[in-house]
Amino acid sequence: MARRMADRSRQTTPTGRDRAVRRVRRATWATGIATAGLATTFSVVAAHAFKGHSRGASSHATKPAAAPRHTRATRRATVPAPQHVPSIVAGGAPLQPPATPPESAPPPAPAPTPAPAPAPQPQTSGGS
Amino acid sequence: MSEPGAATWSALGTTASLWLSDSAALSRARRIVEDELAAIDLACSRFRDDSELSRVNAAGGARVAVSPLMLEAATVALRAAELTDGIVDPTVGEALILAGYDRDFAELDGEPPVLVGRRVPGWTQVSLDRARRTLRVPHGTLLDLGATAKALAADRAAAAVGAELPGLGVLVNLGGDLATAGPAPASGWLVRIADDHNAPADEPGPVVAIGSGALATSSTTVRRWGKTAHHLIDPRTGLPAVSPWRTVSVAAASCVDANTASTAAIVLDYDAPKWLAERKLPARLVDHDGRVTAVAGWPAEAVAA
Repeated sequence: MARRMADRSRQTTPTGRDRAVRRVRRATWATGIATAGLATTFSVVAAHAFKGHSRGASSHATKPAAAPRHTRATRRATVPAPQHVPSIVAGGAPLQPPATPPESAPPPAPAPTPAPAPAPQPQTSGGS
Repeated sequence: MSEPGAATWSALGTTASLWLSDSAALSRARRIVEDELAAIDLACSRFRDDSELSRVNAAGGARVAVSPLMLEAATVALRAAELTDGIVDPTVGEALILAGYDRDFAELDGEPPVLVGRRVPGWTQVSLDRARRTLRVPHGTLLDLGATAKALAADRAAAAVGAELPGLGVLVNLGGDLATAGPAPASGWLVRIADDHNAPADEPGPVVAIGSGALATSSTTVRRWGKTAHHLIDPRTGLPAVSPWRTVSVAAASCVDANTASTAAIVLDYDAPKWLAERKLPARLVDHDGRVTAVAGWPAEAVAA
């Protein structure tokens, strides 16, 4: 066995070595191109499988300066991978606007005689 | 000429105010409102073990028979979710608890836990059988009706007083969620807009008059705990909403619709003005620097003296 290998190495010529080197070089190139192709394919598949936020529904992601008070919460939070965000399209019975829009409050009128019933004090609408 | 009357008391974890055009009927009107609020609390409170909501949440995915009021509250919550495409979603119960809002707000103190975001289960997981009057949520999903139940209570209370005392004008204000019924005063219903419904009466703020319907305000500046957490959850992340708006006020035909829209607007971010305008809902949006955006006919502001 060892004798046979020694015979074979003795038969190897410079031309044969060059041929072998070229074969190895071609194999290296082919492997590199195949790797790049597979990586591209997987990236495209992954991008379609896990859609990101739509531009409209999550625009704060592109305008972080508008909500500076919440940056700390955002930094601490663990947010899941991007998910599909539904478009804001209402179905069914719509939200009903008022019969008339609000108006600016009338300025306080001078008290005529006889004085009318007092106008109600403004109620406050604020967060709760 | 009858004198108007007003009353204020605590209810539903906030302040309840009642204004009636005839003070002689104020006591009767207040009883009507109190009964409505007590019924809503018993049906919809997340902080009462004996509420119907707690029973539904604890049912482990089983179908639960509910009262007509709970049926209505659930229907209103699911409609709000549908009309906002899930932006105002009642399945935020677990997200609120994870954010630290796990007991009555008055008992909250200290920093919230480290916030871990997770998209909420979603309103489409809730099964409501109106014919059999049953409600079912999947095991592990917790409903929270805070976004709509208070507004529903205001609508129901104002309507109940209007029905019991026809001809009188009534305004019910539950922590800034206002509903009206009956004839408005000559000046209209005057409403001062503020970040906090508990703002002192002499604090400057724009005042508007509404002739009918309702007005609601949502704000991230109130019902906060720790330094970062607040009660308006973005269902897409399960975290307190990060919004360019600190306060949004909306006028609508009903308080439920006004509150649905104001809550959605906070979560909707920069899309909110367009979203509100498309629905012809007059609204006032205030950003964190105090800049005001008015849409759909919201009036120029007059500051109360």
